[in-house]
Amino acid sequence: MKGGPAREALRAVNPPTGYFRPDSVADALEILARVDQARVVAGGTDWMLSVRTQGQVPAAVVDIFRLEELQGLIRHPDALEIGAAVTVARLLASAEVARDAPLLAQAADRFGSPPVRSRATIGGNLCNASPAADLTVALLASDATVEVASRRCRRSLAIRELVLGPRRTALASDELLVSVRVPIRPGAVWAFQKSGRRPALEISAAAVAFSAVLQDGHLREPRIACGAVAPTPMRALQAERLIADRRLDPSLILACARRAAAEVEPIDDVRGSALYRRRLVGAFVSRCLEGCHAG
Amino acid sequence: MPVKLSFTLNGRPVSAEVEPTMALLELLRERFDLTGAKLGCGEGECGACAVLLDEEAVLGCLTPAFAVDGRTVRTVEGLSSSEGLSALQQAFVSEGAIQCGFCTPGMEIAAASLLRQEPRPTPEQIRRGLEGNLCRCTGYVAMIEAVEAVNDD
Repeated sequence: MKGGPAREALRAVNPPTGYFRPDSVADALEILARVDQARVVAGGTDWMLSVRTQGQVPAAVVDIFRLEELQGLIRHPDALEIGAAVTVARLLASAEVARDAPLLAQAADRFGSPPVRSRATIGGNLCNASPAADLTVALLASDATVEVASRRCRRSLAIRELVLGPRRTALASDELLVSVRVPIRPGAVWAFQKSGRRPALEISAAAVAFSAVLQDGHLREPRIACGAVAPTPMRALQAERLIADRRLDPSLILACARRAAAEVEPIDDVRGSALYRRRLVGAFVSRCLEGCHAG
Repeated sequence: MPVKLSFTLNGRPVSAEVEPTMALLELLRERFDLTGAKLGCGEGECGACAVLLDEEAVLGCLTPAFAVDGRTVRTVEGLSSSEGLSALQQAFVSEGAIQCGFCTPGMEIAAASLLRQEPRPTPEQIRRGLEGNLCRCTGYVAMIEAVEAVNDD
């Protein structure tokens, strides 16, 4: 049956005036420099939702989903370089990602559902800057950086420098995120934990990504990243300091989990109360460290 | 500024002009009268709007219509042929995997996408393949059995 509420719900309001599908990054940057309030769109999964539910219609759309230069998955000696328009489905299918960026592979495995993963991109997940973005949590714990380009300059940013607040990034209106660089850490241990209301498609009530290098039983450069428990994905720096260069034992694991639960800043919302989220963070940090302890 | 699109729809070359904010689901339902894909939640939770884009399942409600330019789209209407239902669709019928039918198009699209990548999936792979699709009648077990039966000879 046609019409009715379905028809209304799908109809977009105030269509934007421009649509651009550049063939190169250089052309994309030219458009972003020239056109006021242009919105970069990759897979469109977050964007379509904002158009429909919040009526947010940009003056112009710059469609980068098929830009060849943004599709790379390159293994450098010290890092994996991932193009901004690489889909979550490709991350999940990649042997390089599974081997060299296991945290990212794990987050990709728990991301959305197959039809979402085939459109959602790594650059889109970062730039949408959701407090609950799982890929961002994994990238934060992996010390990843992003390459940002404009006609003016090219610069490299750490994840925490890129994501400034809910739906807010450090990108200027003429800048494009072109790639993500995930350092390869030989001998690293890692773990990823997340929770939501159902196994598939869940938006995390809390997520924790952990990585460290295990050297003679001591944890070097531990990283504990937490999602959905602060305005942006955040590192639990105090908890990290507790375990840095130490040997794990049950009491240290407990202390670290408690510290992480204390230093996150969750809110009450439909996906869980602040108290519940703190407890999730504590439990997830424990599980991450216990798994690593056993391994 | 309307965007001109040319693409293959259920095996047939077609063209359309759309606004950049139009969703693929609206294009299929309103311009091409293909009403198999349904608007369920409209936010990517239910999978009722799933269609195949270059033989890979995508959500019609979260995919911009402009994404199909130059590509191949198959909806549930394109799963069957003039000879009748596909083996997958026949399996859904034989296993009693259809109740109210609202989720069926999306389920069959998700299953078709899975079977293309994994012709003989395990029950666990089937559950993962269909995890993005909700059935309000909760008839999941029969669906998993139906997908399992397709290439089980």
